[in-house]
Amino acid sequence: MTGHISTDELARYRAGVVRAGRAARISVHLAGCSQCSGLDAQIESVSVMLAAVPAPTMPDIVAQRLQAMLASEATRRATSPTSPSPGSSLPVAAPARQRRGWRLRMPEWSSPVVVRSLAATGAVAVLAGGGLLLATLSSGGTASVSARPAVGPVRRASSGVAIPGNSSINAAGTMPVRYYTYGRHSAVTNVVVSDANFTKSDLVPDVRARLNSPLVVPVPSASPAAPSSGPDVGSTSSGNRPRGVTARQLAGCLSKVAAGRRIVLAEVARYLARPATIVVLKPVDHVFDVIVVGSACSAANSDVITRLSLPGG
Amino acid sequence: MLRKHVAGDPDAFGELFLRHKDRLWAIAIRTLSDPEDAADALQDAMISAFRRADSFRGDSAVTTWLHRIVVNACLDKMRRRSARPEVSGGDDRLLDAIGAGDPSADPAAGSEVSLEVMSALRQLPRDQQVALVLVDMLDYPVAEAAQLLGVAEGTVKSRCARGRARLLPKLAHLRQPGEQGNRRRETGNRFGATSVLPAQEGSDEAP
Repeated sequence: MTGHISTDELARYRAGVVRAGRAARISVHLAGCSQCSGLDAQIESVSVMLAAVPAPTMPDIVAQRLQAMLASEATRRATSPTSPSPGSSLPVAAPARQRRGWRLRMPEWSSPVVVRSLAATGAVAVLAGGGLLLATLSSGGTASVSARPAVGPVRRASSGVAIPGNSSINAAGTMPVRYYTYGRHSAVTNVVVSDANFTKSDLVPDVRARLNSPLVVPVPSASPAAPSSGPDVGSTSSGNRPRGVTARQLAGCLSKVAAGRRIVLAEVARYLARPATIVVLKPVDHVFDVIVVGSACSAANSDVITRLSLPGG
Repeated sequence: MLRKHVAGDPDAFGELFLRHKDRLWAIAIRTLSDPEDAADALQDAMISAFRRADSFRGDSAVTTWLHRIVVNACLDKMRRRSARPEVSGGDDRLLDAIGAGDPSADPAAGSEVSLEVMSALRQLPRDQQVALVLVDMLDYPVAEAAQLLGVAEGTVKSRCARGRARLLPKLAHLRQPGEQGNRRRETGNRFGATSVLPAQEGSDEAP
């Protein structure tokens, strides 16, 4: 061997992927060439430096999140009629140890604005200032949503944007809501506020239609209505019993329902004519999890009405 | 433990997870660097493993099966991330996470040298990065790394060799004068007391 050995070849020699004859010649060369044996030592030092990077341990917050997720999977499995759950036919609650592990750290938001359902107007009221906005639905008495700064403004839907689905459904608007994935990490989902009334038989096709063509609500023009022209939030102008969700409750609910996973679709609407929020989680193994929660859903209690798996993610 | 889980024991999979969590986190954080991406990948992997446990055939160790699912989830995340333009924002997000009171998320972030090594590593092609993370950083035997990646042992060796050669000029300034590559021994028990050593996983091995 006359010339020196290249870094690439020396690295392959060290890794044992050089043919035997060539390896023997390299070995002889290394013994007599300080330059190449120096390079050889440098290549070894690369492995040493990689090995010296300290090994991490899983942060508690991540471990807790994953344990909570596994506990919810275990519950799902135990209560799902299609999955085998030998032993007991009773739903298996998540172990207390794991439930204790899940702590939502809710942000210091300003006090929630109580949202009242308003008369059936079919309109979206937009209040300027402070990010306080309100959506009302066309079928009085269903969930209305208001938002403080942590929850973005309700985007005004221009005279009713048709939501894909079986029936003709109009969206009152969408509203970005920040929910917690784990620890201080959070994500934002654009919650649709609609007058849809999901039924058992239509839930799957309706959700599928929404996933296939996500709602795009036009950004409202730069001049939201003046506060005085909006509905009076403090009054009960509606004859309906006030019923709705606060922004904090919705964010807490989504954090609770997602249990650390990402939300791909959330819609405040109705299920079997009751106020409900339909939440679809990011698919795992191409299967979406669809969860329908009631109006009591919060960070503390998910108030699940029904849940199902939807293949096709 | 996996058999218990398949038989319906609601706690079994959680126990399995606890035994492996640090090792799995090490794979995820070292291949993805970003704690949030790492947590996401692990979550996908764990749900997938939970649901697919009954398809485990026992022709490999549970450890290998589980770690392979995690490696695949990380590779998947890397692929999807490379389609995202803001990949380079990962460093800031990592440091933010550390600064936000999560110091155990990645001890590498506490050392300038380690950060430089990680930064150099991320400039390599994905397959070389992952091979080096498994073999050089996490000390997987080449044969096991090959199983985790679903490739031949020779492929793992080649990827490691190419990766080391590429890293050499990037890390040259970090070498101590006179260093002859004997620090590896000094690093000793790199996984510390909380690590999951194969001996502790004995009961999970396939019969």
